[in-house]
Amino acid sequence: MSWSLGETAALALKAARGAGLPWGLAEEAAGAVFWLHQRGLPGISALCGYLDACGHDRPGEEALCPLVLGTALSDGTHPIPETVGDQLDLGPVRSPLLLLPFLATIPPGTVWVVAPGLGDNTPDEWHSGWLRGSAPCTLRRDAKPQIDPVRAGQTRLPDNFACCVDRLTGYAHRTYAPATSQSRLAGAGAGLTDND
Amino acid sequence: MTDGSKTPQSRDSSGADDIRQAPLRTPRTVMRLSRMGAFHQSRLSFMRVLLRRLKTEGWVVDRPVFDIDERGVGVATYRARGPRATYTLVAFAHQLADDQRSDRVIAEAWDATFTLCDGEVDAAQIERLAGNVPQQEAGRISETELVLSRANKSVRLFDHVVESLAAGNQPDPRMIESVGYLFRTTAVYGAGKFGAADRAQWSGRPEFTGSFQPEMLAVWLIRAFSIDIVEHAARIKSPATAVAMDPDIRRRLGIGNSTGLGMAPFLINHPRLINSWIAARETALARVRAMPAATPSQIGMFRQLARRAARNANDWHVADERQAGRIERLRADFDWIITKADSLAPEDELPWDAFYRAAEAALSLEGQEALVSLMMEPHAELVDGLADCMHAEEDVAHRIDGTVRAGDVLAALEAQYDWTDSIDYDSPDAQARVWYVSEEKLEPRLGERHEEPLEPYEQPLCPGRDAVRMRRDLASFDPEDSLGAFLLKHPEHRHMARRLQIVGTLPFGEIRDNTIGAGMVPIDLLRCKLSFFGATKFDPRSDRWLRITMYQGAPFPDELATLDPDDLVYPPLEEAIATR
Repeated sequence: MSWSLGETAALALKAARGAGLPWGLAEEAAGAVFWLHQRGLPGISALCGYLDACGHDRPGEEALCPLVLGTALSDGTHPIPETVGDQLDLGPVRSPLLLLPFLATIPPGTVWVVAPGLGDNTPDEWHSGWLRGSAPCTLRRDAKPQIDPVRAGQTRLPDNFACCVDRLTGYAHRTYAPATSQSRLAGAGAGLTDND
Repeated sequence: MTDGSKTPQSRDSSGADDIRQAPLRTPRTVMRLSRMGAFHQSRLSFMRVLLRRLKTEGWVVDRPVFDIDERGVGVATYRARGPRATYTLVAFAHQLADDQRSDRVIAEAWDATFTLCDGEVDAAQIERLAGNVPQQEAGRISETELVLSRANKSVRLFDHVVESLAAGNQPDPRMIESVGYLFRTTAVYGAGKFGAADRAQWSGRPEFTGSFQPEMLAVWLIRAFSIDIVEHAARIKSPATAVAMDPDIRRRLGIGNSTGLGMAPFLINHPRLINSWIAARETALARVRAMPAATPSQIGMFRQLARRAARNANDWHVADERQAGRIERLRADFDWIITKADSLAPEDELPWDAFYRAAEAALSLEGQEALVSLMMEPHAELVDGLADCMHAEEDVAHRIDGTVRAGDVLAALEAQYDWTDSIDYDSPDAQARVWYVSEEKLEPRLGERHEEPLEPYEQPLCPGRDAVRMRRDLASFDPEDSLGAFLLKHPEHRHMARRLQIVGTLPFGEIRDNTIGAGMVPIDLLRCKLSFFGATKFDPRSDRWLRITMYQGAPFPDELATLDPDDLVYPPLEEAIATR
């Protein structure tokens, strides 16, 4: 059974927090996943790939976090190519699909992210490297948005993401506090009987 | 104090941009938990907004399926048809052992389970729903469903009503009044939960303008089901003698609801929505206070409704000591309101403003807020259109403007959160509580920070404390640098930075109280939200959960065309006199 995008984003928020991100960055992850799935792009797979790999880079091969880099770009603290045709190398970025929602917020929304074999064809033909692992990425200012705005009409997470839902549910679980005898007693308020 | 341009004044459907308006009460006055926890239902409450709309648009409800066996087990459907759309409540009736009946959100079985569907339903859809809806959170619904809910019986009243009707008698009105419902819902989930359609899929529909309208429709139809199932049980018990319930008695049955901490974070997590609700309510009050005079018919209506509202207060009985004391005081407040109402005269200048000012000095917060709701009643033309402004789209990842100067952000924090200056967050009491989600229940809970190892699991539900922390770090950051640069160094403040930029434009978006302090009473958060739903008879069962009644007195679907739902919110006066 399919998921609503609202509950998908709520899961992404909890999963990102459960994986150790500060709340504010976890919110960015949720927003990015929502944005991507609205456009039929596999955001939940990309987040899954990123959280799985997070902190597991071999020394000297560290890739950039797409959420930290993405927020730096959308906050205006990271340089971007200013005129059409300009390019800027980023180096290796983890799950680079997650950069797209952040780049789209930079007016007028025409900064692209490209990597060898990725990004210059249509999104449906993109390599799974956008989802898992890292790729050396380049930013490029184009004349039009990388993702055609007409794609932004999806309202559901298709069934075939069930595996990612399970993975993220595992991360989300880390935000839940184990019960203690005291919390069992007091957490929800004991109060009066509820069976009358 | 408050920027008038942020109020809904010019956007509501009353169409009059030139409506006079007194200054709004300030956020400093309104956005305190003690006052929000004293709010009462009003013309702007979502149940009333729904019934007004259904009546105006001539919606009709029928029951295409009622396949319930002699044990009371089966399925029924309630189809609501309006000018543009049809919605169907599918109700599953179950048999539940008494020892399984729990209102806790963790229960796994209920007396009845429900889903509100978009459009008509066919046998195949009912079959799919039968495999999921009775499991509630453990099942899945789809984009053709809008609401998921369940309810338990008040066994005591249900059995009494069955016995009475089966014997050909009407149930005891006193017992009806003391319980107030046959079924109480223990959750009403909407907006994308458990697979349901996201809010964005239906929020543009005219019949759902406002907040929580699908949920309110579902509960109203559940109330109709609660009567059908009790009358069915009486007929099964004694087919020869059973009678239907008298409509006047029936109308005194609402739907109960048990609500706990699961609802508490909502007000903090939805600053835009809360702002829209409170701003509408405050604007309504400001419009009424600006009326230069009161007409004789407005005065007459107000006097009558004040007496009927006083009856509600007299019939409001709770075991909770704090609330019992407040109700006692409220009854005295109503005496004051009635006396003052009797002295209102058409020649008085700015009578409602004078009334409110006097009440501020004389009444408890319960009394003041009851008066605010009552003063709206004779002013439908000023108030009702504001309901169209009571919605907002939240955006969890609202884009932060990272280019602003860090120094300006610090100044904004100091201004927006000046109320935290009186709180010493270094003292143990100020951070005594921690909001967390329990692994066992998957529900929001409130724990003791200094007694349990809960801090690593803390939910971001303490804006005051977080604002103070961000101020401290900003104070030692280069004021000429950007917010983006600050957040690169301090990603832990990103949540608070976003919140500041959201609530900075919303006068009523932030509760101006410590939501993790030792003295915080969580049910104040619940009551505020439930009053906007239109709930009555708030009955705290501890400091963390409460019971309420919804739709008590309201017309049933077969009465909507002939009765006025707004008038029926208050109990009839004749009985009030009879029972005194």
